[in-house]
Amino acid sequence: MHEFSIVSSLLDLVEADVRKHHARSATRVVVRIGDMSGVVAELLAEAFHVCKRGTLAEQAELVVEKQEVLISCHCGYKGPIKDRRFICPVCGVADIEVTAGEEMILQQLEMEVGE
Amino acid sequence: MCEETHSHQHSGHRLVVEPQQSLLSNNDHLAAHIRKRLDNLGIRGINLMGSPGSGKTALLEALIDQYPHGNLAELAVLEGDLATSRDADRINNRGVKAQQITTGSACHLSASMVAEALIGVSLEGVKTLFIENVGNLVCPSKFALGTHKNVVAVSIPEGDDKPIKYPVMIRVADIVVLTKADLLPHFDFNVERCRQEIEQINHHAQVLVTSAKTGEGISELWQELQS
Ligand SMILES: Nc1nc2c(ncn2[C@@H]2O[C@H](COP(=O)(O)OP(=O)(O)OP(=O)(O)O)[C@@H](O)[C@H]2O)c(=O)[nH]1
Ligand SMILES: [Mg+2]
Ligand SMILES: [Zn+2]
Repeated sequence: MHEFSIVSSLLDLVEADVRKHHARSATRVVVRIGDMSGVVAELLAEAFHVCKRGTLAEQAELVVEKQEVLISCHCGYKGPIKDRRFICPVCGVADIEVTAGEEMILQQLEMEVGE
Repeated sequence: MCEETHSHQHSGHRLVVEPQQSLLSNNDHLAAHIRKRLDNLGIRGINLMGSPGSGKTALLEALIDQYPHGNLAELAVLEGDLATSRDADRINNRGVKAQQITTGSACHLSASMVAEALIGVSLEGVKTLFIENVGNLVCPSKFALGTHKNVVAVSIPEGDDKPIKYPVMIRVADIVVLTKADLLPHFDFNVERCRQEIEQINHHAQVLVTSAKTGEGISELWQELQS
């Protein structure tokens, strides 16, 4: 259940941003979670709702955007992989570039600005 | 500190920003500091991960046994044992300094735990620092500790399907060690198929087969660790 420590790290980032912008609180937090990030989106959402209490994100809604794994191959293939195997589904080589799907990112943050 | 917020757009009393920042950027930051410190001291850091009981401590013991006896002061170990000092005691008994990180109920080590534990260890003369992570094939994978190499232990009794079932851990591995090879005669573990699957998940990873019991593959592992 490392989702709890990831959420506490997320809340630290959110609170730092709220303070930096002299906002009152966070109202919406959008994260992008790769299928191969090692994070379970549902567990992350659960942990967020437990941990946000008493923070500047207490009223915030969490939006989790899931990102599938995308690769780019020398043969020109760009797209998803098959069976969790990081090889090109067209030409079979393993020397590919992973362009998405392993990340966990704080994408967007909406805040309420005080008077 | 390093990553700047990009776009700003005001909509009434709402402010929207796009940090585009890794959720673990605080841990990554601290890990980078630890890495710099190790580099300055000329220390090679190794993060040893794997399931509970996959043979991580036994692997460390075997590595110690094949190290020149007069030079054991060049090794140091941080032990991420859950609640006991057993693993640290095993290493200490071999003549190598070991510092226990008490993780309580944590399922992985973080850079801050390592930074704290390092305060209690004399790194003078140390060339290789091993960090035995908490036994877990999922959680530790994304928490950088500032080490130079990630070693993942998968033991023969766990089964050859573990890499494909836990690809995220294999993705971060520099070396995958198939441990307890002396037990191969007793299990249907297809080493070749396992190697192939690891290659298909992470073709940068080296795959080594070891036994802490017979010493098989340990000197090859030392070579890989020092390369
Ligand atoms: N036959 C055989 N048994 C081994 C080998 N390596 C470890 N074992 C046994 O496997 C069990 C677990 O070994 P440990 O080294 O404690 O495993 P670990 O990964 O450090 O375990 P945790 O720290 O508790 O997660 C012990 O009973 C060891 O004796 C090996 O190479 N061969
Ligand atoms: Mg151990
Ligand atoms: Zn291709």
